[in-house]
Amino acid sequence: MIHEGILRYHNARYLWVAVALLVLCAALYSTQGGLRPAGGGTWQGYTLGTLGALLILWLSWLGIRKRRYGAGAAGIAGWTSAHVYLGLALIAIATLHCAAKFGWNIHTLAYVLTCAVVLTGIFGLYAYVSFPAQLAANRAGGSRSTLFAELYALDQQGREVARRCHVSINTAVKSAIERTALGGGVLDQLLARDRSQVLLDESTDTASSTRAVANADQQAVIDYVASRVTRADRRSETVHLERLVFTLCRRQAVLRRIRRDIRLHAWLKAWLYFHVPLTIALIAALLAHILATFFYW
Amino acid sequence: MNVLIRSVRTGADGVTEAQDSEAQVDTITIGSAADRTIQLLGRDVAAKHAAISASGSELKIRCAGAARVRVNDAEVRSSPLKVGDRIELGGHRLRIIAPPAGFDVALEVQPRSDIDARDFERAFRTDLDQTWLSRRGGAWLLGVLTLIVALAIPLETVQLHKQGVATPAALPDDTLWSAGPLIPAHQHIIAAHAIPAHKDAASKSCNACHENLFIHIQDPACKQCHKGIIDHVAPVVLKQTQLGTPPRCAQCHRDHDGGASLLAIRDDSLCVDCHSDRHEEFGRTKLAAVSGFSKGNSHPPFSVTLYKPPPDDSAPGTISADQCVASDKDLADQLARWVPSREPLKQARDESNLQFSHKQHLDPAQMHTTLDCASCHTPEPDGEHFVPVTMARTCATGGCHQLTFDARAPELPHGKPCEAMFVIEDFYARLVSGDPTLRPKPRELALRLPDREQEAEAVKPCTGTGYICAQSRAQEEIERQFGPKGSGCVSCHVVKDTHAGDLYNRYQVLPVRLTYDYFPATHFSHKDHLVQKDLTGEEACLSCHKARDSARSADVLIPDIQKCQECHSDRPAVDQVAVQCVSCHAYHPTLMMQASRGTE
Repeated sequence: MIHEGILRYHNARYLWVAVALLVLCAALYSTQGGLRPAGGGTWQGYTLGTLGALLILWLSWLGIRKRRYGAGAAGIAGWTSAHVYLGLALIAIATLHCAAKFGWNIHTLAYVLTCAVVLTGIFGLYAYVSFPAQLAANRAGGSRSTLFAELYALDQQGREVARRCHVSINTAVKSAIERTALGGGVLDQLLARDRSQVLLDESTDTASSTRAVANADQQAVIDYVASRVTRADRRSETVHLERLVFTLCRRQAVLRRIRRDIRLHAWLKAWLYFHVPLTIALIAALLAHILATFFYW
Repeated sequence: MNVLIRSVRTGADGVTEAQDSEAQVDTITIGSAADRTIQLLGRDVAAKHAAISASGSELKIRCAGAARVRVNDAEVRSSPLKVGDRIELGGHRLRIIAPPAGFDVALEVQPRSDIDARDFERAFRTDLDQTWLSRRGGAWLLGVLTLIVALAIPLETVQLHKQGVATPAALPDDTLWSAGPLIPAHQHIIAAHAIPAHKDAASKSCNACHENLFIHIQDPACKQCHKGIIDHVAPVVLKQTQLGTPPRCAQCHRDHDGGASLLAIRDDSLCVDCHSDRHEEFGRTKLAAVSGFSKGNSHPPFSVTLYKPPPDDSAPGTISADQCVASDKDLADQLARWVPSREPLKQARDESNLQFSHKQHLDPAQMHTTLDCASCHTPEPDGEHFVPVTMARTCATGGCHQLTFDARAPELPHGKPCEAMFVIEDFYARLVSGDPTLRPKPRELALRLPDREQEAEAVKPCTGTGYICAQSRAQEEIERQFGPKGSGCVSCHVVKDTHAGDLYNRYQVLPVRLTYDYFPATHFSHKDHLVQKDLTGEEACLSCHKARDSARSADVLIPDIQKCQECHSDRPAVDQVAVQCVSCHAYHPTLMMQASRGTE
């Protein structure tokens, strides 16, 4: 798979490229010192800074490049491998450039943004390496559409059976289907929060009424229907109710898979909502950093 | 409000059946989301598509965002509703029907029958792209925000500060561009340049030094405060070279490191970049090549600066007895005419006009009391120089050298030879006339040169008048003090015999000028050399200054460069203490004020 190939691409060719680059940078850094302290202002500092800036721009471009699928799977793996290893090397190069001197200024902002971009990238790498396998296992060879098609069929089936049952069962099942929540907002997706509800009959002899109750994991409706199986008036209704419980339980399993799929998919993608804007902010801060250096030099 | 929702479906068997449900809501919400009062699926139905609200008896439908509905075949964004109105959205049909008793509103809903699983899937928000999160939006927001805060606002505040307009302290300004904290002295200067109208603007005026964007700090900005700095190459000398414009102050002096590093570049490259060979650009200026301070030929041998009397200074005007008043100012004027001379250490000879043997003074066998270096040489507070040696402060202390020529006579005044002669004449006149006030002083107080005691006893008999005898004995004593074979003043001083007939003018004691600083342009800390490896105290002094072997004051007791290089090198090594050019030399010449000291 592509994701597994990122790190081992061509015997980790870009790992060695990054290591060689770091050794060169460390050697350059070590020529500083003596009575002229290391920092961004020495010629070695300027060289490391220029290298870091070019690396940031190139890595940003790689980010765009690797998403163009024209290059083919092997090409994508190569580009991504380079992006990962050189991106990790960037933190070390940026630290050598500034000689670990920090302050409340635009220069340190650029450094902090560099770290933030790389750290979000590291999470992204973790997600790309570990989540696809979990996603595939969860979908069990199918796709999300397959799961939704299955859920849709189960919903239709549930409605059909429920219509033949007592009105309170019908109301409960119909409302449980209609009020099934999947996905939703950012936290709903990331935490797989289930806001499903069901309307349960609370009629008394004198008045009819229903009440909406939480139906997380569809457990409330399953319990409600199952409790009615033994109290069914007629044998035919018992058959319907048993079919209904069976359908609702299958539905529960499918919903669990879908919810897990949405959650994993959200985590697989979430870091990009930080990685990309932070990269753009980094490029802006880099521009400000370079200009500020030459404003007052 | 109490709402009746009547779902009308046509089953597979073609039979239409209606199912009623009721809802107790404030607003009837319509959309594909699961939490809507009426959930309608399909590609053309938004999650939150529209809402029907009631005010009094009037109903109104209002769409959210870009969504639209058709009311009675007209596409609208919002519209009042009445019983019988038809609403269409995404292929679904709704109709307002007359509410039965107990209901405020009644709706008949006829969903699209061809909804498939894909439309069903679209009813849910299952991707983060469907939430408020946005990569593009976030990128724009953070990118533009960074540029505004880090560039645009500070640029504007720079302009305002230049015009003298204060800006609120909270507003980002050009201090955001600072590469690091300034040294405390420079923080103070920036505060002094701050705009007075705004207290919080203190320490925020970068353009106290950075006058223009993209232009290096110019020397006038530095010299506003640093007025007394002397150029490395004097402008007169610079004209004789082809060196061109000297470097800017800020090329060597860097700040914004919080004082963690030194303000000036102290690397040897500061010097040897130019001085490692005899540059053609130096023109007529002759300078020895220097490439470092390690053993070999990387540094030229030492030269010392000595002061010598001017050649024509030996014949002062004739003085008469009534002019015999020695003036300190006359002496100082005379010494001020001495000229400095820089000589290679090997050939250098001190011409101090003092006769002194370090060897004798450090030999316990020849001394009443044991002396060490510190007995005479007291360090100055600068740790580099020594308090000048004088008769009163050094030689006469501890009763070592008193100018007594007779146990009954008063001490001779030091530094005033003419007055000393008067004292001698006066003493013998009183002695001959039998002055009863003359009493010998206790012996222990009359320490003198050792061989004088017996000599004083052997007085020749006098046969003339009392006055003649007194004159004769005085003359003998004066000869003893000043004459070439004497043992008084001449023991330490160079006395010139002018052969003048008049006694007062015959002997001239030449003024003494001891060298205060052999290297006035460089610095050397004696304090830092009080301990040298396993040597300390007296031994440390004598390891460099060979005073025990020096019998003449002409000896210049400065060690040569090889002695320094025994311990020092320009790079760190085992048993070697690293030194830089600037450890001894200053880039900016110091004023040679101290060189004129030590002339008492």
